[in-house]
Amino acid sequence: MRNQPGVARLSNPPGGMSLRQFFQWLSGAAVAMIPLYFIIAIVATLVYASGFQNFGWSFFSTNWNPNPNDPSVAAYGWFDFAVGSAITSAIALALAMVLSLGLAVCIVSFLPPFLSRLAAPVTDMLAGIPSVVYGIWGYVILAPYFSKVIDPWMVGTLGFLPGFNATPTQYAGGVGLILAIFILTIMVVPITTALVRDSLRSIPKELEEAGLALGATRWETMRRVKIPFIQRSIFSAGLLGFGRAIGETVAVFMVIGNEVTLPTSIFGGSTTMATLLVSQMDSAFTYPLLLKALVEIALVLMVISLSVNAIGLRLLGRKTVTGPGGIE
Amino acid sequence: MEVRGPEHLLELPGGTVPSPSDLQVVRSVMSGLPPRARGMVSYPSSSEPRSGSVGVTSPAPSSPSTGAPHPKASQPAGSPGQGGDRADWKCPNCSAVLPKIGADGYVTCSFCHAVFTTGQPTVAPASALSEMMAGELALSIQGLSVLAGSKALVQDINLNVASNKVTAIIGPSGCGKTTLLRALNRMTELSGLKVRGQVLYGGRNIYGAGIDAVRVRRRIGMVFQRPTVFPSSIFENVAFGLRIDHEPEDVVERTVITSLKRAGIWDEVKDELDRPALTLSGGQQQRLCIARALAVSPKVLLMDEPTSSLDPIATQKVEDMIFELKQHYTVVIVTHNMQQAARVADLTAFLFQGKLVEFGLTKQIFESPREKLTENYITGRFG
Amino acid sequence: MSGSVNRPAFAPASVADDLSARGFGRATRRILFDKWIGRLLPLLFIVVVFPILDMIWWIAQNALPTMTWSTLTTPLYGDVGGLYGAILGTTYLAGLALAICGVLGIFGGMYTAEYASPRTATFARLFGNILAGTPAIVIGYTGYFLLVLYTGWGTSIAAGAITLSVFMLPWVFRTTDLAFLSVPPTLREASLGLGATHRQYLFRVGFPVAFPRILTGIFIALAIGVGETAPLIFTAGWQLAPATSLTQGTSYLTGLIWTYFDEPANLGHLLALSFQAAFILFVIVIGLNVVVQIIGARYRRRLKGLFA
Repeated sequence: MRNQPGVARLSNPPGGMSLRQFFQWLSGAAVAMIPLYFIIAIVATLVYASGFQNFGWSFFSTNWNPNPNDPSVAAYGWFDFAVGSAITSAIALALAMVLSLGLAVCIVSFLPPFLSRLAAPVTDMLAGIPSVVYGIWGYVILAPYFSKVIDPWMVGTLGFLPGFNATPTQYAGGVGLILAIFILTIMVVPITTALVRDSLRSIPKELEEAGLALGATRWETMRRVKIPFIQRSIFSAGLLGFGRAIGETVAVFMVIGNEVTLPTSIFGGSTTMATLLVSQMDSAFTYPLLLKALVEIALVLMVISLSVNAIGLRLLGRKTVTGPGGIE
Repeated sequence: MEVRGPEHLLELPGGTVPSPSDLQVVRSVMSGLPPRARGMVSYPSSSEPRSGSVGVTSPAPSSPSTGAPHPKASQPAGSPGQGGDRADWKCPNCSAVLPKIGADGYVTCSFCHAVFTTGQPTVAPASALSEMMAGELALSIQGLSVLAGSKALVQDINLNVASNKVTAIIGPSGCGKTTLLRALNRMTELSGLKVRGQVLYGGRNIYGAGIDAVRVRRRIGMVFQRPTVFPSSIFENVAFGLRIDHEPEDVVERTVITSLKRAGIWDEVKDELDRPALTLSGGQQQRLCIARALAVSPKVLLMDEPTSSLDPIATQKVEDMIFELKQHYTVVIVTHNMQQAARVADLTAFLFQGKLVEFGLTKQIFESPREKLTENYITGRFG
Repeated sequence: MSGSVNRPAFAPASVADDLSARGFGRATRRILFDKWIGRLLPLLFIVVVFPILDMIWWIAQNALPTMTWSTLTTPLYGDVGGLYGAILGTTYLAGLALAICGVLGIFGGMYTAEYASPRTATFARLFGNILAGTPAIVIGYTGYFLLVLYTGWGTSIAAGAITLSVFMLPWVFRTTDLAFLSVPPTLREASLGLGATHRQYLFRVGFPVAFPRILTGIFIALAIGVGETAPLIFTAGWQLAPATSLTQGTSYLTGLIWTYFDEPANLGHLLALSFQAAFILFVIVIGLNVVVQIIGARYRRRLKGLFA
């Protein structure tokens, strides 16, 4: 992909084909490249819709003042939301990676075969549950529990750490960063687990047996032979999980509290870039500049997910990734 | 083909200085490569000076130039099968129950190596085989069956493995030789196979209660068909087994060097121990794997067709090395290459359809097999 | 007699070897550590199993007591009524989207696996996977501008379904591609070797063998289409009355939850409806996933039987 991506560059038709063959090839390649057209269409539409509005450097500031009485002081700095996105995705991803490494290791090496066969579909199924179902579960059922039990407990035990201190009014609703992180974590775990698990399974069996035949235990074989063998895949699983986490909108919107400020603690409400796109769309109809700002934020989100996914997939170096339902 | 001298052996801790006659043996094996023709097999002369005269049951070798079937061992008088058709043979010496094969001649008890005729249960006088087995035993396989579900891959094997000897297991593909080998250090567990019977190591059943597979595998190492180097440096590959044991650095270093020397690869890699092991050639990788197995100081080394993916020159190096390994280790080698078995093994077991058909001195198995099946296999009628 | 044979005798050195996991040696510690890892790691499954069970439990508890047959058959008017309009809307949206992405995805996947040059195939797969990772909300925005505003359709089932199909496409594409790749090459060589043309092979041999897996892709896409919200928020509109034409907006199950999840308590009926919608979604999605697993397991067994 050193050059501009485009069908003609991707695969040159072999020389000496007739015009008819060439067009056949072209139409076939055209079918194969439909995802690419969609990606191009998405980027082009967003670029066009943004009207090439230049917000200057204030676009990167923390100053978000989209619909003031005096339009001249309107400001569209999305730094706060970038922070919200970064905190939720990064922490959720870190937790998810630890969990999914453990789960994948357990499924591949430590569970008896019949449980291992059962465990994989169950984790995959978790990836298939609609995000809106996670959202309503988080908002209606978990949020009160968090505000009454989890949040006070965490403030009590971890309150001395920066970012973990809050007054009861600040977590009264239960919604906030911590709940969003929790929901995001269990949403990302199945995806990263499946990726790590498949990488572990793709390791040649001979290598594992070699480790065991040397008198290593299952854990030592895992730790010193298999994990080093799939380092790259683990990293790319992290990237792909990050792409999912940062783009997740609906479930996060329902539990994050949607406060348009920098959060003071991990219990406070916040907004991510993705949830901003939803929460501000209503007012955007009356403020054309706000709409353009949102479109540009959407573009930023698109670029982030595009590059993260592209790097992750190239590192993974496999034909496919596992998705909900455990298709490989 | 360069044959390495014995010089480097002198500096091995615990390594015995080879006697001149041993050196002679190494050389003669190397120079006397067998002819390629089927049925024309030459043998290492190793067994001869040790086991003395060939026992009474061994006939003269057949003429290698004809390639014709070997003449049968002296046919016993008396009609076979008198002891009832249904029952298995029972060894008159040790009472082991043997599968009913070899109805028309001598039967070798694969457990105690007594030879008896099927008609009259009389024990033959001391054979070359029993002399070869006179030393210590490394392993004793007793009534071993390996089951995949209800299907027996390996059935009721009785076999002893003599210490500091090379025992080859031959047989057509799919006969269960690899399965049998993997059962010897409990690798069968990994593929969910069930094991019946016993494998005695040091007098104790490795499948017994309270015995841990991890420890068994430390004592009974294994080398696989294809080289399986880990994606790390040469040094770290060999050090693997020591690192997991948290051995001190100087011990690790010393052992790695010794192991590399014993595996005969030291001279080739001594200047680049930090090189990624995957950059080595196939033959070097395989010898590295053998060195890695040696580094955890096993007593027995199981080799599953260790040269099947190697070219002839690399194969020769590995065979050369196996020959030297005998001094410190007991080697059990599975091979589909009969000439290889003839070259490296002192003792040979022939497996067919999961059953042990015949076990004996390599020379005897190849020159004068007692069983028709063995003979057919050796002469290339099947397999 | 017995003088001539040797009873088994073991090397004295080896007698000292302890093969058990007793004592306090290094090896014992290693083995015990491994055992405890093996016991503790499965506890992580609580993290996976607990949310599912908790979700099922609470959603069922909030949904089922007030759920009757009429919930499924009456449309919603204001704050009374049932889920009929939403179920119908979801059916339209997911069905239409599936039709679109099914055709494109199956042909695309087939071409990628069977005809494309390795380079084209690599890039097609890469872009397919990138599209699968694109945030749904971004696709929703694009759909809003391109289909709702620029075409002048307004928020409508058509706009929603097309937007949704973009999100579903990679799954069909990818599974079809893999389905054809997983057809054993021996089968392909055999049929081509018997003089079949590539097209004959593809439709007589390849497609029937690959079909179960393609079906799993379609089911997964369907599950995603039924469960997705973000691409529809700005494209499918919102209309409580059951839709009668593709140019109308519609209500749909995920949208219903999205709209009413934070309704105040005095509109408890709407919250209950949200839970009922969530319950139905749950059942559909889990059901489709189970079907996919069953098909997948059967397919693997069949392939095994064919080539073992």
